[in-house]
Amino acid sequence: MGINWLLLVSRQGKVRLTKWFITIPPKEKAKIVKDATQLVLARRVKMCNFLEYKDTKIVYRRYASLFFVAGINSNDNELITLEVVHRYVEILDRYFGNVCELDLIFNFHKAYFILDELLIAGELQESSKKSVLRVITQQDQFEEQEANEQKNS
Amino acid sequence: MSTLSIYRGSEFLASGISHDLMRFVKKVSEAKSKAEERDHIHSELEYIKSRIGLPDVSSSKVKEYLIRLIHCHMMGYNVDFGLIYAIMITQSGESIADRRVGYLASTLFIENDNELAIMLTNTLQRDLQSAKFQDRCAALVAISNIRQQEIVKAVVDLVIINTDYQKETVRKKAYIALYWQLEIDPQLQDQLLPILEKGLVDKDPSVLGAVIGIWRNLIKKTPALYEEALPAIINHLRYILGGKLHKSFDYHGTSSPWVQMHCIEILEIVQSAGLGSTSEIAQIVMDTLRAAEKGVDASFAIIYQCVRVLSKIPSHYVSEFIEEGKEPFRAVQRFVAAQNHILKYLGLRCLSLMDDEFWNEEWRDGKVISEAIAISNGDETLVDEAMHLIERIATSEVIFNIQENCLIAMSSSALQGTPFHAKLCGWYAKQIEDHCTDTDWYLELMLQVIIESGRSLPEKYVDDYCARFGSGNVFSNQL
Repeated sequence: MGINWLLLVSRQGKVRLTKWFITIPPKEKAKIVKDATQLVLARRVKMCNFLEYKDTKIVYRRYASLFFVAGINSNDNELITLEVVHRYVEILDRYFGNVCELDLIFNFHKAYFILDELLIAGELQESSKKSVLRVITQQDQFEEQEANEQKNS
Repeated sequence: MSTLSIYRGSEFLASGISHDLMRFVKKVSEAKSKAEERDHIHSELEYIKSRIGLPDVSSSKVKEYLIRLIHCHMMGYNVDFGLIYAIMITQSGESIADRRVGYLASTLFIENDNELAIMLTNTLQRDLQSAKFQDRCAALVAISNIRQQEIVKAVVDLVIINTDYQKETVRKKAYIALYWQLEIDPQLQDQLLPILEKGLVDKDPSVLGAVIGIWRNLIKKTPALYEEALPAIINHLRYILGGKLHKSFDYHGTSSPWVQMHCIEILEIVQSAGLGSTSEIAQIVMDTLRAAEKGVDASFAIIYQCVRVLSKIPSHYVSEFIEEGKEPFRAVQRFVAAQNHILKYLGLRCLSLMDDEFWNEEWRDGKVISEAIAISNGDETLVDEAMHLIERIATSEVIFNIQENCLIAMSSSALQGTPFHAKLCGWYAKQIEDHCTDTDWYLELMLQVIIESGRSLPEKYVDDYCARFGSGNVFSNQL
């Protein structure tokens, strides 16, 4: 119904983030990551951002050196999924200030927090970019405050 | 990239992570082989295993170890030993940051039937009542992600209370958590449905948006549930279409596209189940479609969804719209003619959903559709759609009409010898065989296809064909 999994992979095929919204055995996860990476790296520039994969669909887009790849069911709307991915990228970009692969490498746990604010269990929970960013930055400020208080005490 | 330049780089400085963590991540990223990566990770896991359980290790150190474990887990390695520490840190982590990472690690490491998950219950119950909304949020997100029967029973009442909390971000997550609890334990239906209905009249559009998404899933499973929800849903959709939603919900010029999408999907389900008022549904879908035509990006997705619904309602409704001059499918024309692959793909998908009677004349002869094949340059996703459509309308004349575009693709030197090329040549040859009724152009065209196919067609096929050519008996070959 929503997104089944999300994968961020570099142009060299290195995994930068994986999030699974469905329960499947680890071997199957590994296979999907491997297959999806292969399929997506083989695509050329002007091609459609959608592919069929077994009895599901893959939606992907390349942003600089990173591929954002999402797995959905066959009868889901692939175009809206593309926009969900884009929304995520926009938020990451706003949060990190012109996000690049290094930001995600060093802050992958924060990328997970941001993803949790946008999607829960594969379903979009928030469509306002401002809202997501506000909650995340509030969280960060709070954590920083706490860390400072601890240092001072 | 040298280590020194990374240390000085703004991304590292801004991240606030320790040097150890950075070194680890860098080492793993730069591994030249799978075996090297495995070695680094295994030695790191051994190191962490030996340190994380020590009595004098600080809460923030555990947090850091957990972050490294998350990284290993993300790369596909087993980090089961870390779960217990993740759970412990949610309980006793000194700072909110530590506890938050604990929740994250717990949700990532737990396979859904893991017995240890039960140990989170106390922490969840504590955090669901915390004075700090961040704790409540972390707990609610964890509940939605973990989804375990025993946890559900222990926390459901507290989650319900959170649907009335003053902060909208908490209410929103609480409703979502309730939905997932309902999924695990359908017996809770009588208790939870009224609460989820209450969500449909929440004053905050963020909350309402999330709740509508939930109802889409509920109605998909049980269409009969639509009755209570539909008025509020249609109301909200009209509210959005009226431009009344705050600008922060805009996405590239379209207001709250995902919620619009969910509303249309609900209407589609209701309509398919033969429920609701078809004329009301048709009208609002038409209105949504009209509004979406002005937009880009996400609007395209909405148009696609609307076309899907319109194609499922009895065609006389659509005919009526056409008679009234409303042109429900005019956006499709724009897409089919587009050069951009995604838009063309969208156009072709819409065509495949639409009833033949609503097709434009220019689509029926196959030429416009076959343009997709000519521009595809190996894009199988696009070409598959075109092929299916051609097969649907195939007649001798159509197959004749599409030759120019097919030959353009077949003669592309970039594609020669690829599996895609073989598939295309084989497909077109078969279409000619199956549908051609006119010897005049059959021979010439088949010859051209065989020439352009290079080595892509099976040798036996080509030999058989030439033999038949020679013997004068041409119309009965099998590929």
